[in-house]
Amino acid sequence: MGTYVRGKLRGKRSLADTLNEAEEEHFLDCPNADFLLRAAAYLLDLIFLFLLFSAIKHLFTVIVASPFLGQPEQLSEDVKVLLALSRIGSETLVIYFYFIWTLTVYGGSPAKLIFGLRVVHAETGEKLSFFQAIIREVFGKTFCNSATLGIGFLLPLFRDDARALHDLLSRSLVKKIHGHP
Amino acid sequence: MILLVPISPEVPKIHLPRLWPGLVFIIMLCLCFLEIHDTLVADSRYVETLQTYVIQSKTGKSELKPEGHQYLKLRPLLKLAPSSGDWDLKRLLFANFIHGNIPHLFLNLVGAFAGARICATFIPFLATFSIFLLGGTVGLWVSLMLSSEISQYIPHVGASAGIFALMGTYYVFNFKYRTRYFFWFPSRRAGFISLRTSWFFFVDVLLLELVLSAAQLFPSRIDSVDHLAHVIGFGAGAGLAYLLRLVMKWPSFLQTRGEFLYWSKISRPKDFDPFHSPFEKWIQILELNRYNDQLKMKLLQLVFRDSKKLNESEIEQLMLFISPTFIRLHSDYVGALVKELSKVGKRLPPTWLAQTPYDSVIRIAKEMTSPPDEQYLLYKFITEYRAVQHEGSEVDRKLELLTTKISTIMPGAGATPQPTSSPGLAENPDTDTSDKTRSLATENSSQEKATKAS
Repeated sequence: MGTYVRGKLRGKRSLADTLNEAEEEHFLDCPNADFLLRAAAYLLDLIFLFLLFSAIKHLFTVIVASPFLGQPEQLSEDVKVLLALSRIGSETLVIYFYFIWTLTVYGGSPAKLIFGLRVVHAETGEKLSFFQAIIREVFGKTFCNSATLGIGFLLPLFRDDARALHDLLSRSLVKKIHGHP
Repeated sequence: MILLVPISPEVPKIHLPRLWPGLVFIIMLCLCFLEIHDTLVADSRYVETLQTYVIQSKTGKSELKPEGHQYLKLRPLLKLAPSSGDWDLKRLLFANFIHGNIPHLFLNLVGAFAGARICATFIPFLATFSIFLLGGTVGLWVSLMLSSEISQYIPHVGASAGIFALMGTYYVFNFKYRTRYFFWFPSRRAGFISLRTSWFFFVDVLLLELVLSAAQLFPSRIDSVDHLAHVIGFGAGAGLAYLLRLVMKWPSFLQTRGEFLYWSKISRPKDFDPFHSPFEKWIQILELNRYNDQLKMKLLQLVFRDSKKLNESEIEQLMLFISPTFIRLHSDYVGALVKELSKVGKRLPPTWLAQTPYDSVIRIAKEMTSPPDEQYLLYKFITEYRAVQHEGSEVDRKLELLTTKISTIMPGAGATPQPTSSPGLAENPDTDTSDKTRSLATENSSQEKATKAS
């Protein structure tokens, strides 16, 4: 088995790189987040997402009710389809930014960060790559956990490293890096 | 609001809001409901026959016949409540205490209880009640004037505009601070969180209500809720609270009423020292409320200005309030402070260093990476931190590795201070901490006069 060499460390390292590396190594030494904390963070994420979705819903309700598009009952099919597609597009964008973008840039969804949890690469402690994030959030959480009737979510209860099915698939770990505020 | 329930501002136990202001509001609203119950029953019976006056327009919309408007004008509730076609000040004020039915009353009881209770940390009950009444009245009045409805004799009632005025008040007083929320997770450990007040209110209240109130301006209504009164009530409450703060001369760096009362009773010492007098005063206030990050930042600004004047015990007093949470939220300030103290040759208290977690130290260190000619201070800081760790412990091992790595990047690090910039170190143009220090110092000089005046 070869030694894993980080791409960014092949060149000349700066002080900030060294500190980032020290932080990542520290994350790996932090305790694994337990099931209770992860469930609480997930519930909070759903609440935040619900608030964002209801904002989108109300925004589109107002657009339909506004006099700029004419009477709501008299809207043409094309406009209705366009509005529906725009709404689906906005919701998809929200989901992408909420779960995938935050995971690759900040190391966790907003609720996870609030709870002091960090999703890291299981071997290096680094933030997940875009590909890993997609595997974790889309393939792992949505498809595999549905296929296992949600049992994948319960795996942390039975494993010492508290990893769920989507963590195993994306080679990630959820660490508790500090006490939640 | 229902999913994420604001419990209180993030303050120590002694400043937590009391229950009785909320209970007074509940009793008041219930008594008013009982008092006007007969009128409400008569009104609902009266309105039942309104269907006979409704016609369908050419566009398919429901409209009232002219006789329908005359019929509505005589409804019993309009003797107590205002409508856009028939209102006066007395009815406008009384509308804040009228509710159309029990669910409407119940929802507003919850809101009024929470609003009155949460404001009790900042203002006395009389001020809370006045803001509720005035803010609510302004909200209802503007809504009466702007809303477009099927008839101008639709009464606008409810305490919700007043409740939003109380929320506006809370927003003004606690905007820069944090709020504790409960979110229905059945755990004492994980069911509560603290968030910045500005974040949550933006999404839940302002955004949704602004969007919905915009819909109210159009002829086709979305629901029968008076969103416009909510938004205007919120704005009026915020305006009144801001005015109150101006009248009370409430400094922006004080969070709770307890702190304000303490602050206003401290008299200016005869031998006023522009550094030590405010320093001592602010440390005393921080002892009252250790969550007041604004005051901590102000204190740090004071220290940047005259760091040489700090003695060891003062540094120890100051560092007691530099908690891991504060470091996480304001690492730029703490990084600049550590640098400044290091520069003037002050030692960081070993007790504070021993209590500070490793990840907080890395955060501070990240803020000290630039400018390159001051990177030796970072090395010094890490070394000081290592000195207070148990030899051979996990943290000690990590720090040994880290210092070795830093030494390879900064040849000669830790040996002597490097007053001039080294070209080899200028490879990382991260956020310039020196700029932050400079901006803090500039901010300070402008605040110097205010400090002296206080």
